Amino acid sequence: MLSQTPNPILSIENLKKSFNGFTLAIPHLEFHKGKIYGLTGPNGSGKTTLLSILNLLEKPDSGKIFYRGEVISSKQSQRLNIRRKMAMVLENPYLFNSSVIQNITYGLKVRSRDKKSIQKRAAKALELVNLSGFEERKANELSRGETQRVGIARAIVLNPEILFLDEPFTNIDKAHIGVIEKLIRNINRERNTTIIFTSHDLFQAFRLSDEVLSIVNGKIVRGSIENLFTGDIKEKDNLQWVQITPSLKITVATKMKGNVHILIPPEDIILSRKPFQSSARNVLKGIIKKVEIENDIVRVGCDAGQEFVSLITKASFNRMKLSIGSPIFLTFKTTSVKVF
Amino acid sequence: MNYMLEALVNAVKMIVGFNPELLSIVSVSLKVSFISTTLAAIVGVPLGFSIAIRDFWGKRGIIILLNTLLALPTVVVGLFIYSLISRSGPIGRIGLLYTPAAMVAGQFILALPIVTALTVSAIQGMDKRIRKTALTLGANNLQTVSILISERKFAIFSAIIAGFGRVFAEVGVSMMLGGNIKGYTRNITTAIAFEAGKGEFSLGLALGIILLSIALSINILVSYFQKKTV
Repeated sequence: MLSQTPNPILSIENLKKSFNGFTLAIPHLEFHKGKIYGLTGPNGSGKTTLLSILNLLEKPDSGKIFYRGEVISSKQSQRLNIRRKMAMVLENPYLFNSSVIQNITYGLKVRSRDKKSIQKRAAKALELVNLSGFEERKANELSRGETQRVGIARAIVLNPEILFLDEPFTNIDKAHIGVIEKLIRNINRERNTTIIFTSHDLFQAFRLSDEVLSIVNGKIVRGSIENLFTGDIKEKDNLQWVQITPSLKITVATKMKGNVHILIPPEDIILSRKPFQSSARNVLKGIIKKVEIENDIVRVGCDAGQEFVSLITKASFNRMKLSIGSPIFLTFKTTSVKVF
Repeated sequence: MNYMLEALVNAVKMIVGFNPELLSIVSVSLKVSFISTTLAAIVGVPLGFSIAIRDFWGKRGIIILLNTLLALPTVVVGLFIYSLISRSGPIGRIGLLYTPAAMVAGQFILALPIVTALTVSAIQGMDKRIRKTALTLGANNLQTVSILISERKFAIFSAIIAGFGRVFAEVGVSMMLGGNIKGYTRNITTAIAFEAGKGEFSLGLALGIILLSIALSINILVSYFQKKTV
């Protein structure tokens, strides 16, 4: 098991940041030493902004950030000290206009580390991303995937306590995704590094991380963002529902009005061959489109007017003899539907 | 036509034979313009840098002003400095008028807006990720500034060279403040004006050829740096 210190390594309270009519608002969030966090969400939902604020590259409009319980002030020296315990790999990393080795050693040089250890650590970092021998190559002549890997090596050479990775897999070719995934796990295990990465690939986020956080429209949603829909609240005879498409409506209970997002946790959707009597108000008919098995959990993707995902155990999956193309009923309670 | 050709042949002879008068004139030009451009770079690059990266009230106005000053008429600058350093001017007693130092002062004012404005656009045009990358890798403020300058060094070089090109080819300031004194303040442009006035085309033409070749080299250098910048 991963060790967990009582104090989170990084936490935020009442954070707010607005720009261009968009607001990132997080009442409370904590990250613990040695854990891997996957941050998912649609484009423009605030993932990168959150990473930049956590890495102290940007200041929030209001709210506090704590490093090991200590509040981070706006004092330059304190911010620099704490920033030097973390490192971020940007989505599409920028490599300085020099050689690969110059890029890798930059962070160590600004920290005035001695030359001998710099060379050793740089060689090791390049080896970890499968780029040994690339030292003298010009940074601007690398492919996108190589650039991404140099970006990762440039950050891990610093041996940070917290490593932020913004969409680390976007530019990586298929052959190297496994290498980078393994690298992330190894760094986390060997060095007990806290890793916070963003990804639009939910399956990957689940596979790699101890905890998946979803961020939608500037707000944190625990769990995944599968089964996320948008629609208008309608009301009739004391019954409320969200009209997703003309033929698909989902019953909800909320005080909100107008256009809303709704989210149904995949583990709350019950699958059955036939409709059954229950208090659950939402029963949808669909067809199984996708089946992904991981350990003892099966993720079943169904088309019921929109794509829904349900998480069930392997045992019940086998017992029900489900397969792609099987007709299926999806049942979930009104109270399972999160409205925001 | 014959007489033009004769002047041209003489001009080439003067250049190839390293005519001493010619050399003295070219060396005044190079010295004065080099010093004035260096001073303009020392002031203009940091100034342009801080205008580019800071947000302050009136920033747009300053940038518009700088762009207007790019076309500052040389005689206006000459007149302004002249009024300061002439015998009856506020600092007339120092005796700067008709010295290379006065020419340097005038050329400095001409070059400064060019170096500053082009540095502003060099820094504003840079990739936003450079700063973020330096910060996340642990650079402090000074280290961040130095990597920004280093990443934009070619664009900044071309700003400085453009400033040199402007002052090297100007005539108004040199004439009004230098006074075209032979062997002391006579530079390429004032000499050309003077020789043409006398009807002595050979020396003028030789100087013109040198001026054009230097201007050409400068432009080749600028386009080389601009290509490097992209």
